[in-house]
Amino acid sequence: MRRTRGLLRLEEKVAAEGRRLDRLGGPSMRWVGPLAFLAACCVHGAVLLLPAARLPAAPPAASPVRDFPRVWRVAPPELPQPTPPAARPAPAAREPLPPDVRSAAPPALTRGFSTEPVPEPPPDLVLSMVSANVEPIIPNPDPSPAVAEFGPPATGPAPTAAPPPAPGQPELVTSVPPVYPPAARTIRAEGRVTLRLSVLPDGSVGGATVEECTRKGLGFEAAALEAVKRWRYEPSPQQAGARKVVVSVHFQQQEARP
Amino acid sequence: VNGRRIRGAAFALVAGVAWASARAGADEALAAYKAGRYLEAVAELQAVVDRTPGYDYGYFLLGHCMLKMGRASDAEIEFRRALRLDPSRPEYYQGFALALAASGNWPLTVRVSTDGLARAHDLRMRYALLALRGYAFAALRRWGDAARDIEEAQRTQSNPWILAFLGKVRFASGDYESAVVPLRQVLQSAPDDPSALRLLSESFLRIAADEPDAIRKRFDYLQSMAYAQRLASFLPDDLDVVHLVGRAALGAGRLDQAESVFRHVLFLNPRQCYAMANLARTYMAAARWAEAELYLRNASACAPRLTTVWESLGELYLQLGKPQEAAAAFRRVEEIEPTRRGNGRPGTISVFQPR
Repeated sequence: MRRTRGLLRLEEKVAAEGRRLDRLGGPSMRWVGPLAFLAACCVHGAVLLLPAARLPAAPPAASPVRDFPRVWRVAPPELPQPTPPAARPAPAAREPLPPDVRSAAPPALTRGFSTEPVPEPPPDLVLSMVSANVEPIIPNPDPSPAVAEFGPPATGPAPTAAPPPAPGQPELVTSVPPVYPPAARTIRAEGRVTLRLSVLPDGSVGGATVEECTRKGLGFEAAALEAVKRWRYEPSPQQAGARKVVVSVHFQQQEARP
Repeated sequence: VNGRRIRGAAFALVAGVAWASARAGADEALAAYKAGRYLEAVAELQAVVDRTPGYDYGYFLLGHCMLKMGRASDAEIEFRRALRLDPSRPEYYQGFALALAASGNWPLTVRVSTDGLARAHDLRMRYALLALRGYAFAALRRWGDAARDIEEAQRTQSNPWILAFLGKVRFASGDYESAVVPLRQVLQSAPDDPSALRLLSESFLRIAADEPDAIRKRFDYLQSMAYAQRLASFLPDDLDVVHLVGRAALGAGRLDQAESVFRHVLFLNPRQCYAMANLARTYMAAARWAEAELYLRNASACAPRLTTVWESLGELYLQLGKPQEAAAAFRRVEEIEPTRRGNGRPGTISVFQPR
């Protein structure tokens, strides 16, 4: 109380001095009083708190529970951390949930037991017989290529009797007769091979496909393909792309004819 | 010299004639084979190979005829002969692998298919050989190898059979999330395929069981339930299928449905131990402790070595405030499966609000 009264007297003195200076025309001393009061409060407060701050930490009070200090020092148990996303195998493979699923889902409860279905062994897998589903691949006895792609046309021998061109088809200018297959000649077999040719604008045969063969397995197809690749048709440079031509090659035994 | 030339020419002529004759006979045999007249084809081919023993194609076609007639071991012999004469043709390896698969010789099927694949460049042939080898790997339970072959075959040619096979192989290897994709594709062409529906439901059950996110877990159980219900709609007498519906319903929190399904299963088959355990878990989820205890006790008597039953029993006793009984149940888990020591105690598992 005495100290407070002293402070008030000091403030009155400072105020009176300020008023005197005001009257003399000196600098204003209106704020000096409150500032001085504030400074005094700070100084007193610091003096009061200083002993408390310098005190050493008080030892923990003895607990009525015997193990309390030991338990108190044990670190708290760590909470289970959620599995990092990288640990999940291929999380991107999961399809996204439909948008209304999360909002419509009921709140999850946490209980101390599992109410999911009991895990059961996987069902026995029944594999349908492979032979019923993998078809056997059986090529024809004559493995001659059905389609032949040719390179640049070779110069062949002089044309023999060229078949007359069908209406709308290009004219054949060089025809090379096919070689009679030895096996077919031996057994005096005859046959006819129908081919679809792809004639390039320069008149050469760019490719051929066997459409039909009346007697397979004797080499007629290969012989016909080998021959037609040397054929030359009338060039048609103004035409873009290849022209399709269907031709028929006959294999006949001349001496067998009456 | 002239005599030697004449002899050579004569020999070539005879060989050419024989070869041409063999090809003609093979043509007729092939036509008979395609028409399903296998006996006729065999007779023709036998005559061909008797006349021309070096004609590999004859043995090859003979092997296929034997396969069609169900004589796999005879087919193997013929394919072996064909391959001895010409080991370069992949179709011979395919035929041989088919014969070996028909007689269940899986290791040799793998080897022959591998040899054929080394020579096969045609996509159709590669598909056939990969499917065969994948099948053989699956029969040997080499699921990873099987999945690799079937995936490659499926990239070459996709059809319902190869998709279903891929789904099965992935399921068997435990890759349930990957199994779902081809199985769903199977359903696009065959919506009621029972094996695809079954495996889809089973896959989602397992995916859900491992799913940590509660909402996604429930969604997976609901998907499992949808496939199981679809399957049960046309297989209502298959108790395994009906039980599958109940398992999915329990996981999805549809407790009323789960209870009725498990009761139905137990009515028809009172010795279905899994149904007892699942019904007990349904009652636990609904906090019907007395019924849960009854069914868990029944299940523990029915399947005394099923650890999940003892775990549930321990958890139930903890809920009922019976620590002695709970400890005894958890001890039983450890006795059955010593490696699960410490895991038999109840954990905190998220479950869903029953509807």
